[in-house]
Amino acid sequence: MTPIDALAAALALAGAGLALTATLGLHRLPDLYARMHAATKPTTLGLALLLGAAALRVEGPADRTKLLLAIALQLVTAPTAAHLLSRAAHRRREPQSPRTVLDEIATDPPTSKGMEPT
Amino acid sequence: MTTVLTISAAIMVAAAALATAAALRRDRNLPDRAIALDVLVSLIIGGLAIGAAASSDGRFADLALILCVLGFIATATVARYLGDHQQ
Repeated sequence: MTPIDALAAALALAGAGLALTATLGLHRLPDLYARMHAATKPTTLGLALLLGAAALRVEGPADRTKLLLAIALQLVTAPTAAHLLSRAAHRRREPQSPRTVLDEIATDPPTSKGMEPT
Repeated sequence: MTTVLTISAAIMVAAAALATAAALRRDRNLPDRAIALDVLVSLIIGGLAIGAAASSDGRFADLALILCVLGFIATATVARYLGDHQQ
């Protein structure tokens, strides 16, 4: 067992743990927006760790580049997709948890003074 | 040792995928299901990454890259569909 292999195994385990955390959040959090928070952040980092572990283990620069490209792509697309989905859900007036503190893009009724309706 | 760690990572990702599938069955509205599907695609990519790490096989890398793009397009399409049906 080389140190690289040990590092790859540790990265894979950490990534799998983050994936489990994301699923736990999907089940436990109160409303859609909180679940979206749980679903995007841990899966992005967890997936980056898992793909990094794979990049340490594969042979040849071609496959390694593909895996690193997949990490970069995931880092760019995951926030974009979550943003699109949350704006669409908010426009559809998806119910919010009663413990929501601030809704910055709310139109009616205005939750804070001086905020332009969007 | 490394094998044990990799196998336990695979089991954890599989358990997460099963729990996400349960959330997908339970949630009845479309945005929640879109989120659960997004997570499920991410977990499948993670499983492919563990497969690549376990076998040192480069073919998993192609699949992971394709699924990354496909998952984003799917979520963006659902978001557009939700936005079009607001009124």
